[in-house]
Amino acid sequence: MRSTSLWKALLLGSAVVVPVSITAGCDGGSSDECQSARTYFEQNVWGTFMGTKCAKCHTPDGVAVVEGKAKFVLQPSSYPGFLDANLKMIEDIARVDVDGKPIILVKPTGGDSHGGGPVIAGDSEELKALETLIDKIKNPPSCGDAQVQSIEAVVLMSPADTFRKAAINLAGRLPTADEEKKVTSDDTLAAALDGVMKEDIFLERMREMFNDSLLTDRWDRNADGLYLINDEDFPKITEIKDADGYDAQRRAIARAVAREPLNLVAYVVQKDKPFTEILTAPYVVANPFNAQVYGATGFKDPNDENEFQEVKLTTYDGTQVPHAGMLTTPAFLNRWPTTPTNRSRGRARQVFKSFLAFNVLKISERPIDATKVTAVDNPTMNSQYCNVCHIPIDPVAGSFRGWSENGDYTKFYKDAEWHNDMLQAGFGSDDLPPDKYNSGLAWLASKIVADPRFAISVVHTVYTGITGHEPLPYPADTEAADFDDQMAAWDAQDAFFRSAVDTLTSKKWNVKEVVKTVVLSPYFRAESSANPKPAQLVDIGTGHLLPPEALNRKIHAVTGVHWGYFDGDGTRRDMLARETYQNYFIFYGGMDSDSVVSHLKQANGTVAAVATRMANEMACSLTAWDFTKAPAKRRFFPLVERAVVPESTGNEVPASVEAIKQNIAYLHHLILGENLKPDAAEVDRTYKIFLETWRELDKAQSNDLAWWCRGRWDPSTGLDLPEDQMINDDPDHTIRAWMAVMAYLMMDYKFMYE
Amino acid sequence: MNRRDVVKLLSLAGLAAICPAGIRSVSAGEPKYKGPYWIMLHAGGGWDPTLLCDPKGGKLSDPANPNSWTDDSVNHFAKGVDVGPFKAAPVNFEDDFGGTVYELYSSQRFFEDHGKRVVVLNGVDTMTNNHDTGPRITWSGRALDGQPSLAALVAAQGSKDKDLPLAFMSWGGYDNTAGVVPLARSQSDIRVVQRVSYTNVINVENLGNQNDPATNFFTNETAARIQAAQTERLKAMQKVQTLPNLKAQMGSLLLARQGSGSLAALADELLNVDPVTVPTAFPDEFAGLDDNAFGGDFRGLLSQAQLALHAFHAGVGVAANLSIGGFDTHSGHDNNHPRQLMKLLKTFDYIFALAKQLGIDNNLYVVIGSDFGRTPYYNDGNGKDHWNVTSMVVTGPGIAGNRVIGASDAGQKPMRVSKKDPSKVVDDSDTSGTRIEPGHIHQELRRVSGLSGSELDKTYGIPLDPLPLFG
Repeated sequence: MRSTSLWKALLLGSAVVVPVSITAGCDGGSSDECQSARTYFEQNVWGTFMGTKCAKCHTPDGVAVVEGKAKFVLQPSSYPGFLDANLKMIEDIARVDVDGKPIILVKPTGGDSHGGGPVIAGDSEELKALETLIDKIKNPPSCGDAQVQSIEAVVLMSPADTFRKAAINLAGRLPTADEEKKVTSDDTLAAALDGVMKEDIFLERMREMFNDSLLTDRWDRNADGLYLINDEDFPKITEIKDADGYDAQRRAIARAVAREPLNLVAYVVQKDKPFTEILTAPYVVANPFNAQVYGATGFKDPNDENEFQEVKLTTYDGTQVPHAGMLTTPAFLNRWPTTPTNRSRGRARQVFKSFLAFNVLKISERPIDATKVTAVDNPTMNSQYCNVCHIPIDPVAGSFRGWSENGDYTKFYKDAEWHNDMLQAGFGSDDLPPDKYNSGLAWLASKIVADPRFAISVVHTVYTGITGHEPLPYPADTEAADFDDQMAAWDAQDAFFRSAVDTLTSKKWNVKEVVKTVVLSPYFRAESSANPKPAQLVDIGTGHLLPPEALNRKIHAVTGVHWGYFDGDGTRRDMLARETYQNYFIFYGGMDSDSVVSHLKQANGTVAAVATRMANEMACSLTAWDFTKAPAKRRFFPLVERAVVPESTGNEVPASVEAIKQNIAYLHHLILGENLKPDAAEVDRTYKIFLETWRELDKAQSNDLAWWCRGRWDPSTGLDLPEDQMINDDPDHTIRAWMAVMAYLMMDYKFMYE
Repeated sequence: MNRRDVVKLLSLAGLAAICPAGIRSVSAGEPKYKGPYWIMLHAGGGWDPTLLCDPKGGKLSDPANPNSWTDDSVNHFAKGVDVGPFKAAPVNFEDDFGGTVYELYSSQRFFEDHGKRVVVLNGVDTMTNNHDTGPRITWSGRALDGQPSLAALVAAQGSKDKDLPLAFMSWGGYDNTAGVVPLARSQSDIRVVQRVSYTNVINVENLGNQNDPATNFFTNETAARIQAAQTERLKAMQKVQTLPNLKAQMGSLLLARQGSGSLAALADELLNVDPVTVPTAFPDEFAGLDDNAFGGDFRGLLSQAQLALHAFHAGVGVAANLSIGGFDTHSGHDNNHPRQLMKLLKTFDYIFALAKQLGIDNNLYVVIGSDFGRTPYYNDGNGKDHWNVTSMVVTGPGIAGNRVIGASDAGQKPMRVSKKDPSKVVDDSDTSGTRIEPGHIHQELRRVSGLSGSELDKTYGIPLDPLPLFG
């Protein structure tokens, strides 16, 4: 364990850091220090008055903008990068003078017919702060933005413990013996993470992170994916749907079609391509399964769903499909469907949400005045209650022209008019050029990835995917007693996100760099803190309830066995896997990407019950089976034998007790990642369970072992063991005592949470 | 030792003393919850009350042409039908099964069947046309981000001193809890519930089988020992944890474990219950039809209701969000909207049939609502877009039914009601009256639920002058 400040370690790359004060920063802190325009804006202008007094009327749906047609538009804090966007707005406005004075200094005091009258006094500190800001904008100081915001006295996990947590999170496995030996510093930790991120499970984790927003896995059930394909363009799909020859493969093909958007993420990650390609890729990715739909061949392994090819598609008449990464996949277009009147607006809203970190609906949360609601003609353009969202949405929606309600490419001819009752296709202030009418989404994709919000959205998605935490909202309650601490937490996180964005863009858009940045940060690896201000620590450290698919992987990683059963034909059915969501998947907080579209964040009674059942079933199936093996081959009980009992004729057997405690300490490490000595208090607590269970059974002289808990078969394969290896009873009463220990550890907080 | 003995043993083993930081205190082994119960029935996407309880009608420009509705026709029917105090839209949904046409339900039949128990609130001004804000204000009474839903509040109140693993079940709608109560995701498949309810029984399917009795993983003493040790360990970890989000997660697990014990009560309840199908839900009307007749989402909604009501009856649940989508009919409104509306209303019918069978119908609140309303005119795609004026339907103990409160005008704008006597509708220009907002309805629902004046009520207050809507 090391005690460190939050950002010194992270941003300065320091390996050994001591706690520092919270106000530390390269240029933040006292008013004597140099502050950049951005830092000054945030701390002295936005945070003190502009965020309340000016934003009250000047947000996109504010009265000054809607009714007064004001050009001074301030983005609310829900807008990604709102501080930068608002500073840019001030920079632009500051160029305009009224009577030789910047208009931004005139209007707030009521000058130049300010619609809102005077909102700050002419001799106020607020006006002085605004003057200072304008001066900094016109004469930028030499110092950079405040990058270092520290949260005091956060204790991080060791590199080895961090790696275990990361390996479970990112690769669904425990560290190997070699990795345990090598990971001794942050540098070796980073190198080990590079290795983890080459594994197939990591690709699945990346799919999961992006599905949380895209929800395209809604199609990955039954054979839904097959029905997303246009059989005129790709007639092979008809054969695949109907022919007996595809029985075995039909599900895999459907899955590959359903997961085209997520497989593109996986492919870009796998090949270390710029992450911008998830939108700009001029191809669709095919693995050996959906390749059969598109006629692609030449795969090395016909069963490897992570072997990809770039495929350019053509429609039935030979028209080249204008690919735009995942935007033009049938799975995306059908998951976010449209109608003749919706005109892809729903798709556009999703584009903002998934790729620009922007929930458009958040800018229109002010109450509608019912007295002013009228049945206006074309409300999406003409009603102030509608166009606040439609102004950003409709141009993006227009870029979907040529893509049908079913997700088919139908072309859009240059001379065909787009709907004249909605804004023209485009992005922001740019219109879609006429020569791009047939490839609007490819054009849109190029614009999106050039927008700073795209990188923010990638960082947010990875951050949330790994930590389970949403980015902190900008503190709204300025009267809160802990407002300053909330701001400190937000500032620190904002600085972290900007740093991660810089890392992403400076490292050729390799998203793995963001993953590493998050894992190495205190947000992931903090384990405690002596900081007495909880509001500063609100997002520090992860202890999130593992989603069922992650717990499913962890169970296997730790035990080598999946929790589930084998069908009559030998097919494995995991109790927590997404594929078997009709079992415990939803109960345990999983999402089906259809009616359930978010993960459960906190345990409830059913979650606790499922975890307890899992622990009991796993303890039952693993314990006797492990004892059927030679000690050196045992995973759980290498340090004891069945005959090692704690007492004999009522007296403790010290050597036996020592061996039992050593094995308990070993299990604490294997199952929970704890490094305990055999005389640790927690080992004693666990030993007490063993001892009292053993005594209970010994007293009752109960030798029977329930059929299901006997060592008769290999739970990893479902196959029977040789007769002479089987364990059918428990005459020493230790198997059930160890079962109790196993169940106790597998239902533990540290097993359920990461 | 039977299951209830184990619960007692758990209590003796120290579980009853747990009081995790944060949410609330619980003691295991308390008497089960006996009501009242709450169901929030959500029409996802923004429903059109003019097809149910606030019809406006329309005019034909050519009486000989039944499709020649004028542009200012709010509805594509002439006028509503009087059913007692209600004005019902002449709207139904029917489908053809094997050459026989079956009517699923109609607005008129809904009021004929249930008018006496419901109060309709018309002209409710949600003040939004936003899919994020709409469900929030409808189900919490405020547009404020993070506001807990009414279902969460009543569940928190109802489970304050009880062991209720499914206090708040949700299948969608607005289910923000603000941390006042754990949210339970529920599956409609009741067989899954049975399997997780007896965590110490290996072969749950053998429960009650005298010839081949069920077998436990551990003796009950050992199972209790494991649980008690787990609790001690978790409390010890929580005590020394200094990071607030880790400490909170440990607290929620402590709380959740207390709630898992009485799941078995639900399993007992469900031992002899078969998953609902359309024909079994309505044997007099739809016997012989496919299990999923009228659409799989209809049976899905029935299944939600079935599990919620049995959870109530078993004493382990307080509130449930039931939800069905398909109401956001920006195109093909007249074809698509009635179908979803009748699924919703027929589920209300099923809820009270099953509730009566279980003996809890007199202790059950049901609130029907949606994101907002739909425009009083059709768009170019024969659809209707978002409109801030809507209606809600409420029933429950202490709320006199057979009433309509509030109104919208011919253009579906809200009218006001007298502040002293909300049964009196006044013109919207009469500022002595007030428009009905969702917050007014929630204040009243909080009052009848007993929440008013509680800490929860104060913490998540609704800053409106009260309006005695329910008398």
